[in-house]
Formats: sequence, C-alpha cells, structure tokens
Amino acid sequence: MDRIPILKVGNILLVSIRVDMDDITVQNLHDDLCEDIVKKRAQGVLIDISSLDMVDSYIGHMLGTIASTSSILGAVTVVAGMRPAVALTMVELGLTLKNVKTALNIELGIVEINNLIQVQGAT
Amino acid sequence: MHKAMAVLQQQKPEVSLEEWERRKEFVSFTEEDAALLRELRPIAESYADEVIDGLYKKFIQFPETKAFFPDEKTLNRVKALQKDYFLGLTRGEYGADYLTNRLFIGRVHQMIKLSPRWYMGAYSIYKQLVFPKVIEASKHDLEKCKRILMALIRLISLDQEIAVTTYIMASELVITRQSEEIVELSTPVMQIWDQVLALPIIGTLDSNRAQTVMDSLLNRIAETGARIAIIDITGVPIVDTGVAQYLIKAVTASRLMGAECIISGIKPHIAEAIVQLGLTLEGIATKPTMADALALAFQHTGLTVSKTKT
Repeated sequence: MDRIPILKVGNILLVSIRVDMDDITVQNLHDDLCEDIVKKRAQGVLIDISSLDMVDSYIGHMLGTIASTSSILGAVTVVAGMRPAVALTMVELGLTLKNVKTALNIELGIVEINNLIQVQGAT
Repeated sequence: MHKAMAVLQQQKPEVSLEEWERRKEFVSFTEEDAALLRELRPIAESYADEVIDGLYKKFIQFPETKAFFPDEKTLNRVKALQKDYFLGLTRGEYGADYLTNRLFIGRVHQMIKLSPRWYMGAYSIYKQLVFPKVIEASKHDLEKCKRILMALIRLISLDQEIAVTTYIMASELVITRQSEEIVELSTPVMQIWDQVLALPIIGTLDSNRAQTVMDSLLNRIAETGARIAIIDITGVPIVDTGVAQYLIKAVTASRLMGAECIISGIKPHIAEAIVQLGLTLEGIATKPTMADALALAFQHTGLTVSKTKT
C-alpha cells in the first residue's frame, strides 16, 4: 500500500505529493498526518503539490478536510505550489479551498506557516 | 515595386490546383470548352486591340478607375498587360500555369487597392465588348456560337472567382493578424514591483478574453513568484454579472496558487451597478485607484515608501 512520506522540519510537517493519489492513499495520508501532528507536536502542515498536474474533486475536498482537522488539532495548514492549470480547473470545479491557506512555493509556504503560528501564539 | 511583385509571385497559392479542378467541374468547364476557346484565338487576336481600347476608354471616364493611370506610360504598360490577359482567355491552356497567372493578377489588383466592385465591373465591360464580336464572327453557325459563348462565360466566371478569392484571403489574413494583435495587446501583465504584478484590463471582458487574461495572469504569477496581483478595471466600460464572475474566478485561482489579488479602478457608477446587481465581491480586496492598490500591496509585502527630499 502506497504511503506518502511525512517529513518533520522544525515544528512543521512537510508533505510533498509527487504521484497521483488514489482514494486510499489520500485517506492514509489524512490518518498519518493527524497522528503525527499529535505525536510530534507539530504546529504547521505544509503540503506541496507542485508536481501534480491534476487535482480531482476528491483530492480537492480532502485538502480542505485535512486543513480543518489539523486546525482542530492546533496546527495550521498551507498548500503550496499549485500550478496555474490546476488552479483554473479547481475554480471551474467550484473547489475554492476557502479554509485553506496557500503559497506559491515551499519556501514562501514555510514563511506563511511561521507567520500564522506567530499570529496564533499572540492571540 | 519589383520587390513587391516578386513577393506576390512567390506567395503560397490561395487556391490549390486540386480546388481549381473542382471549380472547373462545378461550372462544367470541359475539354470541349477549352478546344472551342483555342479555336477562337485568331478571331480574338483580330479584335484584341479594339476591345482593350474600349475597356480603357471606359476606365478613363471614371475618376475611381482613372486614378490608377496617372500618365500615358503607365496606361500603355497596363494596356499591354491587359492584352496579354485577354489573349490568355483563348490560349487553350487552363491548368496550373493559368491558375498561377490568374492568382497573381488577383493579388496585384488587391495590392494596388482597386476595389472589387470596379474590378468586377470591368468583367462586365469585357463581356459587353467581346460578346458582340464573337457573335458577329460565328453567326453563320448559331449552335456553335452558343457553345462558344457558354465556354467564355464559364471561363470568365472562374476568373472572377479567383479574383474574389484572392481579395477575401488577403482580408482574412489581415483580420487574423489584427485579432491576434488585439488579444496580445489587451492582456499585458506587468511586474511593477518585486512580487507585485499589475494587470490593466481595457475594453469589454467577454468569456474568450477572460480566459486569456486568467491564463496569462496565472502563468505570470508562477513565472515571477509574485505574491500580489493588482487587477485594474479602469478601462472596463461595463461590469455585469458575467464580468464579476470572471473576476471572482481569477481572484480565487490566484489565491489557490498562493497569490493575493486586489481589484482597482472601480469607478463610482460601476460600484453602484455592482451593488444594484446584488453582486458581492466578498473577500476580495477592492480599491478605487491603482495607487491605492499599490499602497495596499506595499503594506502586505511589508514595504514602506519614504520621501528623501522635502
């Protein structure tokens, strides 16, 4: 069974999705992330999708779910590196990922997460 | 001029030989017609000068056509070419060479900007001048006379088709080039600051253009790594539900990529219209002018602008 590796960098969990995922892989990723957030006391989740040239409605939906769950567990989620064509398709499909923060690439994603963590810490 | 002629001669043919044959088939131009016209050659030669003179007498009478013959020299040169064209009708060869020659003639007329209505009119004058001659020469055999006239009509109509085709193709070429230019001109995405893009939209935003605008915006965001894009709609005359929808889509797609959009250039009456339509640009930063939007962009990227002189 395919599992997407989750890397811990400081207080951030980094997930780079490089293959087209089937529904089971997505579900597994969700489960693994939730466990790791608690176990590794992560404050942020960064999901890099710059290698994906297609995001279907299921994955789009799952990204939203991951963000919501992480938020309940006290971690902020940022999706980074969405390609122009993918963004266009998502909008056409009506998947606007309203509750998910986004960034242009991993680097800016880390900056964004740190900003968000700071804001959270302040409040 | 000679250079231009060479270009015209080398141009890719507007009508392929295959299509030419199909057209001949369509107007029932047969080998028999070709043979009849070939037979007409000596007679045509005998009255060629007279016909050409008659034709140019007419051209001289009208300022629209006279303008093309500024002096005697030009007139004589063109007359010689016209005679060659006229005798070409009875040369008896109506294949590839004939087609090439007719296409070239069409292009030359198109290039000198002779309006097609005068060009087509000239064919009518031709018929009026030539047909009585042909009838006169073959009146002893009315059946054959009829066939000759039919052959001539078929060939002349083919010539006209070629001429019209070259005109249309030339205009289409211009239209295609212009519409490409318009699309390019209408969607510039400029980087106005580090990580800040500006996209002024000028003119009506239809679905086609909205798509191009959105494509170039998203691609530029990816290329430049911009974090803020300012969409300026000062030049958009009407904002209706459709336009608002496109703007919302562009903003949402940019956000998915990690860039924030600011919409600027919303004039008071446009703002009124947006509200009256019941549209909410909720969650989208809007500013009245590009300057305000830029100030907001600076604020978001953590930049400050300061005066160095007082």
